[in-house]
Amino acid sequence: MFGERISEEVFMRELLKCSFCGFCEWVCPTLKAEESRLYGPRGRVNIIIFAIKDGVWTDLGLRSIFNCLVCGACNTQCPAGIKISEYIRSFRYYLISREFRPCFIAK
Amino acid sequence: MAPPIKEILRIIVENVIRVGMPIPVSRRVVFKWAEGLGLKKNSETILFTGTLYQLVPYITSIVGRLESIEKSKLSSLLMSFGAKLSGIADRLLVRTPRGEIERQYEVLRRIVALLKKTDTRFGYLYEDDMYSGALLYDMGLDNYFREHAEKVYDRLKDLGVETLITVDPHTTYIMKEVYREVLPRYSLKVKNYLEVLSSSDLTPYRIIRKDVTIHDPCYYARYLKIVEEPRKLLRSGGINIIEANRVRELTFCCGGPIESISPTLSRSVALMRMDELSTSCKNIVVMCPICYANLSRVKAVDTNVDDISNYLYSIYCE
Repeated sequence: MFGERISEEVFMRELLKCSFCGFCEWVCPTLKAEESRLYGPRGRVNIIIFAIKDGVWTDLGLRSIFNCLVCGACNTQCPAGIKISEYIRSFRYYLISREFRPCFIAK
Repeated sequence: MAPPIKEILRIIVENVIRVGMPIPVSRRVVFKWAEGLGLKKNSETILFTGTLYQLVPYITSIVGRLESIEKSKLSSLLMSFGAKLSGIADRLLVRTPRGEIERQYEVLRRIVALLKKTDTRFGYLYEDDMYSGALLYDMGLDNYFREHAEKVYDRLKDLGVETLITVDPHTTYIMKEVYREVLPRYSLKVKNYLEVLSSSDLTPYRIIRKDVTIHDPCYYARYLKIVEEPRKLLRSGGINIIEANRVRELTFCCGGPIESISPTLSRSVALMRMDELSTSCKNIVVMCPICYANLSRVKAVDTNVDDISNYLYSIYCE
């Protein structure tokens, strides 16, 4: 799932399949190491949904998105079949190409 | 305070644009390990290292520095200052123990020795061995990744390459799956060396009676389904595999992918994984240089973390 091909509609269509059951949480390494639920897959799905739907995100949310290991453990647990880690990776591109654009050289 | 994400991303992009790799090391670091091995340069099938094994000692040094910065209240200032003076910062950051560099070179030499035991004929590109762009992709730097991928692919086609033999999970995934998605004209065949060895009916030169536990890298186990190959190769040589709590497609990450963004969190994840693995067995087999680096920095004195190629070399080579 290469970032530039994913529209906001696709993010929302796929991530709203999440029923927030939390099965993904027990396998997430970063959630086990951090206290905030935002550091788990369910929290990251919420971050993406709120960012796209309402334009709302926080520094903690941003850090959580870039602290995902993209290890794919959550994907093995999702009853809805959402490739959670792939959407998190693509959302990094979404952020970088919009408000979170770093002052890169060349572009 | 954690290092500022924007600055880290900017440094990664600058380095890839400037030197073709996420860390500013000399090109000679990439291919020095192959000197004297007599590998042909012009070959349709090549060993493509993706430079990861060679860069790991430098990554470890940098992560150590970043951890110190993370503990500093001035992290943002230090990072931006470091980025502006990147030439000086590069030299400070990449001072690395010689022994660790040689250790990773030896892994690559042993992979070559193992591949020479098969029917596969292959060469090596020396100064044209390249970085796949894995970190750009992982961090969502998709536009920069595409540009880098096009450069790498065009160079490989110019050199007449048709098939790549890869040696680590990140490079394998990027070259096998992601390049195909990003570059519609992509036509290279990609095999991982463990797949090549496993399908070659190698005869063990010696049997090694030893207990080990395997740490499956996420990309091998979940993304590429390379799970049975390493087990088959080790068991054929007499190795007894004691499976840890979470293995195969349910493996637990070593924490390595976020070592540059949050080195302290990365260490916490590595500690959890090390606890699981060392409870099963004190001899831990890894198959990825990033896993090796991250697990090694948290291992206890009585625990041994070693690359699978070292075990396979002892079994299949004289």
